[in-house]
Amino acid sequence: MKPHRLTLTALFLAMALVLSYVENLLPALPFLPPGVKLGLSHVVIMYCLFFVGAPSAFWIALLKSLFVLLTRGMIAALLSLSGGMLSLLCLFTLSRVGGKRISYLALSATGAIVHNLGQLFGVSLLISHSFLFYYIPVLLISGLLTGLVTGILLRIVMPALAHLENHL
Amino acid sequence: MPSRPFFRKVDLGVGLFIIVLALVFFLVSRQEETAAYANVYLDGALLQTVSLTEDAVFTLEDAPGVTLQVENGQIRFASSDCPDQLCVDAGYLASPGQYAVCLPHRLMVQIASSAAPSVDRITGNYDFPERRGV
Repeated sequence: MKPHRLTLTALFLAMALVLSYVENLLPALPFLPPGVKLGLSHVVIMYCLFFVGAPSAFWIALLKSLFVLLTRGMIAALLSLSGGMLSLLCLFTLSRVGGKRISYLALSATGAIVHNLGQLFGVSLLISHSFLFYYIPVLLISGLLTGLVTGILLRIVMPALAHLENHL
Repeated sequence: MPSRPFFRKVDLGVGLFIIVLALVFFLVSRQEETAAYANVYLDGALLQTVSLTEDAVFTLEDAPGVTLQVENGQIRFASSDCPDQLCVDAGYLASPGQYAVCLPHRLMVQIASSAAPSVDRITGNYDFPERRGV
């Protein structure tokens, strides 16, 4: 990696870590089903994938899971890794295959949904039970909603991040 | 700066498809949930299987003093001629694995479960008992 890109990756990794940490500090909203989070670091990782480069995005997702391992333990790390990697793989494929035709909103929502499904897959490695199946509708809808929110946020912070990138 | 559209009309279709998909999964899982049954054991051996889909009140041939009642997908000991009435006090059983026992009649009623007992929750730093050597 070139120094410029390495620096950018490190900067965005720090952003992703802080966002996920701050998000964890917020109290869980009572009307949300357990395990449903906004996924603010999704915004940063998407930006990296679209504008900095795929390797940077994959490094950030991987190192973020390592951070989760240190701060929140094994199971949380496994879920972060399975969700993050699957989501990123899906976004990478979609953005390459679909070219510029697929909108940011669609990519963001798809990423969030696949992230949730990846986590469900991670959980199913730990506990095999048919009740996991009941959680699929919850994960689909929550992924759709959180994906829309992070997509809108991405659109809002995009100029600011680009400005930062150009002045580094 | 943005190299692709933020929103396209086709996204509405995709969103709608996901909502429909969630609805389908929801309905399918609901259907599976109601197709439950309970097992009645006498002396630890399976005596009979009771469907919980139809409301019914019945007695068992091997224990004439006991009346079982199925209502709204739940089952309970409606009455029993045993002295302690613990089985009746256990009330309605609804979730898989839940059971009520009548020791004087050596009867047990348990809601059948298709797989391992469900886990309520796994938190971040789960301490595995086997790792502690307990």
